[in-house]
Amino acid sequence: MAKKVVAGVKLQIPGGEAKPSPPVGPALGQHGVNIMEFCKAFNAQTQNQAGVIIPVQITIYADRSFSFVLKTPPASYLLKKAAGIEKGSPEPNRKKVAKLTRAQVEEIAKLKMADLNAKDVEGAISIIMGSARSLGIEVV
Amino acid sequence: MNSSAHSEEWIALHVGVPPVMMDGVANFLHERGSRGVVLDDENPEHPSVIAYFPRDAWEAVYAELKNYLARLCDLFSVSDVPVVRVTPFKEEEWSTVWKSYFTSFPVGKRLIVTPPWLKPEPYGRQILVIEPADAFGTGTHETTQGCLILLEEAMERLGSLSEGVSLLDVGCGTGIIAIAAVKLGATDVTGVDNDPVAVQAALHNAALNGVEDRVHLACVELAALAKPADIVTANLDRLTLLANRDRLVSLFRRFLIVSGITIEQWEEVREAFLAQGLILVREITRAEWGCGMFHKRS
Repeated sequence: MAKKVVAGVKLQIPGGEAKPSPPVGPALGQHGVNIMEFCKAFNAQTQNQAGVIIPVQITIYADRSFSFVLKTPPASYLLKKAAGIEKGSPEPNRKKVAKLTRAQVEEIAKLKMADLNAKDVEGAISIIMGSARSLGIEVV
Repeated sequence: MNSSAHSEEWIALHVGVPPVMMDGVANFLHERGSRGVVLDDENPEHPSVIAYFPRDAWEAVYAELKNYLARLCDLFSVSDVPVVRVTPFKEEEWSTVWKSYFTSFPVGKRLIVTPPWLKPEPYGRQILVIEPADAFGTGTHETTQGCLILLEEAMERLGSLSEGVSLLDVGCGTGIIAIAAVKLGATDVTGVDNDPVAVQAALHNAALNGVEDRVHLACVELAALAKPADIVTANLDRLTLLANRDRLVSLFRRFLIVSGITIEQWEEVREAFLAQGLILVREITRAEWGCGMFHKRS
């Protein structure tokens, strides 16, 4: 059917744990999306990734029906996992909290490639490097 | 959600950040207890990250966030420190507030479309219960309504068929057309969609209407359809309709209803089907959409 798109919403929410409270409720409720249906569908599709931060892109059509696409976890999530840390540095300019090799960053860049606005792997690596710096992770 | 949570007030933190800082800021907010974030990059030059915190928890986060942003600016040599906008708002019953977008409404002469939580007076009409969710065809769109109106007319014209009326709905979405056909008296009804999500939604809606045993719903590609029906409804789009016109023409015996076409494209689609030797019985053009009903030359 000719689906006329009226809005797009990008969220990052923990897998298997979407609830009607913020941010899902206000972000989707304002567009008239059936929030419980979204939560059910999202939680069903992400039940094997419980607690993992999942970026999700929701498209809302003229008749208020919706569709959504799941993306790979954010670079920050993958970097922290690779570095074995729970949290990034609150002072990333001064205090480094972990080290990763360039090969590890490249691996994450390749995994994220499809979801990044990058022309090639080098472009993707530089985006992931930016995320690493924001977290206080040194790339050696 | 418990009742005390209903009155809880929330604080939304809108952080306008350069793209290079988005991931770090989103992560920072996740780590400080936000149950998720909204990434608003509609304007790619000025994206923002939005996170929500309960009123009693946001101030500590805000102070830490300001500090973190200043350090990120230092790290990325950004001179303008990102602006954090703080917006308080009352918690609403988010799980139901979206329902205010939907209401019961009449379509054509014989139907009322309603979401499941409303119980409209039928006033002699057939009630179609459609759950608005993740499939197209909640009934509020002109393309669906046009299709329903033409379906009513086709059923009226075929009312005297003694052997019953069969219908094939191609691209059934929520199942609204197929379920309407059952309610309008069709006896052999099939709805197909190539999207399994739509077929699940259609099965759910068929059950809501108590017609699950009177409509056959399946996940099938248009190219695989072979069994003809008296009425074929195809609420699709211009490209799919044009690419599949031979098949659609071969699939119907009495009436073909095509919809899902913008007003600018309607003439082209209409002419393409007329060129197949069909006769236009009726067309509806309203708002930005066109749809039409054809029959075969006898």
